[in-house]
Amino acid sequence: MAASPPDLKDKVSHLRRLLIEVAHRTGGAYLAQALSGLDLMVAIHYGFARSDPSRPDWPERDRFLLSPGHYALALYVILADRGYFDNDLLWTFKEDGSPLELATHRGTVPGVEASGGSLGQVLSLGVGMALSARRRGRAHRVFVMMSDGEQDEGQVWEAAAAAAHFRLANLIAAIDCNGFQVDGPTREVLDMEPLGDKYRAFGWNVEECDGNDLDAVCAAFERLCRGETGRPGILIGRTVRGKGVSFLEGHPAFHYTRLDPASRDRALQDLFGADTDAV
Amino acid sequence: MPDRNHGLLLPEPGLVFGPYRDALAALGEARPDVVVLGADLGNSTEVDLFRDRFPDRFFNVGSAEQNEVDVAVGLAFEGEVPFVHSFGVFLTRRAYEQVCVQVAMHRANVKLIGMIPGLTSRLGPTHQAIEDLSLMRALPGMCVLDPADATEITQAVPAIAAWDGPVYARMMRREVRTLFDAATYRFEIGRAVSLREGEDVAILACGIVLEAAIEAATGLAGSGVEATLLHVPTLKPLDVDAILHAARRCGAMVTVENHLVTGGLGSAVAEVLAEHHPCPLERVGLRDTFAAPGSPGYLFKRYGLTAAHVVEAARRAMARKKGRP
Repeated sequence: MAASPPDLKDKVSHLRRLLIEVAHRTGGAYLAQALSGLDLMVAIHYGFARSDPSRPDWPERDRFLLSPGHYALALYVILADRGYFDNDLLWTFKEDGSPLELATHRGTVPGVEASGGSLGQVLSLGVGMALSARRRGRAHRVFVMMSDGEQDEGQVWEAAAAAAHFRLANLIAAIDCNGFQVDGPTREVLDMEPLGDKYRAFGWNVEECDGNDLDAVCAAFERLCRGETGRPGILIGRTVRGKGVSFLEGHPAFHYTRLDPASRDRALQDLFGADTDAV
Repeated sequence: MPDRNHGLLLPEPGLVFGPYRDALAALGEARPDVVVLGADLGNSTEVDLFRDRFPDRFFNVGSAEQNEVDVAVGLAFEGEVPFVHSFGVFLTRRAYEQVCVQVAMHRANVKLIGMIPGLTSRLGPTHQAIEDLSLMRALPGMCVLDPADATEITQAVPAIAAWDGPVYARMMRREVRTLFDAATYRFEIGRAVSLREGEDVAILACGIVLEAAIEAATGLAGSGVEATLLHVPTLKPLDVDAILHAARRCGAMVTVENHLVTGGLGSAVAEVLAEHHPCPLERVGLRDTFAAPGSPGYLFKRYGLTAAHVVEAARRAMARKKGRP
């Protein structure tokens, strides 16, 4: 592991602050989703995926594929922090002509390896990349980050079956299960639970934990990355949408979030108490 | 009498079995970066020989075409050259969004091979790809092919692999006509091929119905009508120069395709003529209808895709030319 959970907790705090600030200054983002999935993405990017920001095309790098493109901002703050591109670019988020689009698109900035705007497709890309790695005798892994809402898409399950069928132990997925999709709670819109049992039945190694508990998340990824059984692995992270911000947490209204100055201050107050300095 | 078909056509059409199967296996030998995806249609899409010779480069993903297309994109992003197989209907209808936003949008180097085009399927309208050319032609940057015979298939397969970017190719299987002389014919993506020169009317064809177009041109010659015959195996990128050359020479055009007259060759030619050289155009193909199940011969007659229909269309086009002020 590249970084220990205590270091990662500081990292997550820093990036949460950055998410609030970018969402505030650039007029809005899918903020509640970015906050819920951030711990999982930080754990993968800083803790498990081998990569080198100075060589984004390094053939031996672990691939990180973001499937719900709406989580773009969470990936952008990670990539900027890691040095894939200049931090100042974050303030151009979703401006006309900016490479930092509202949803991720492959080829826009280094480190974005998939286009995820249309849900449910990226696990299939991961299967293809993992097959290629094995065929070429390369040891790298393919990490795929998904959302719970997109589990509705039938293609996800075509890919899940294929990954197990081809015994892709080099494929590790994670689901940010924050319990919400566009029209409301996932249990009310289309209940896909129990997700863990479904993936187990499809032949995957499954871990489930609090997806906002970094210690638990890192321990789960550690077990999945051993992969000695020749199965793909998936971490089902039970998370809170809008994690850490009281007026966002669990509230169905915030599919897309705009933060006026007062809301920004309240969000930072919630997350960091008195320490509400801008980044 | 001058050789009016430029020596490209055989004196008599022949028949060969499974030219695609052999061409794909030969490609596997020549190109170690080519991988093949199947969707539970191994023998039916003629990937079985490649599978048996190169098992480590063959992936059967089951009857799951949406996943199949996106798995291929993942492989292509890593530098492989995937050939993706199913019936044309499933690759284009069922996996259209995957083909659009992953293959076309990224210009991924994925080769989509759609078997049993148009009315050549025996399974009825669920299996008849009659709007596949239209769907694929609509996608930015997609190369779209409809080869006409076994010789062209044999030459097209390595050309598809060499093409830098996404390709949709219709593919015929099992018994396939041989029309072109392999010694003289050279297939090239983006190039239309003149098979006959005449001044009265130009007949443009792609795919299996080229044979009907050849028969029609020969029949017209017997009654004193000299037709230009242009074979257009690449619908995109279209050989605009060749089409305009034929239009300027003849002033009356006929298109023939194993497809709806909307969105495919007929539409592509109409667009070129409307912008550059308006002249009478008659389109032979399906007209806003799904087709019944049946044998190709029966269906071509029933829906108006035979040589006789091409001759009628040519006469209509010529009459409209004469009737012009």
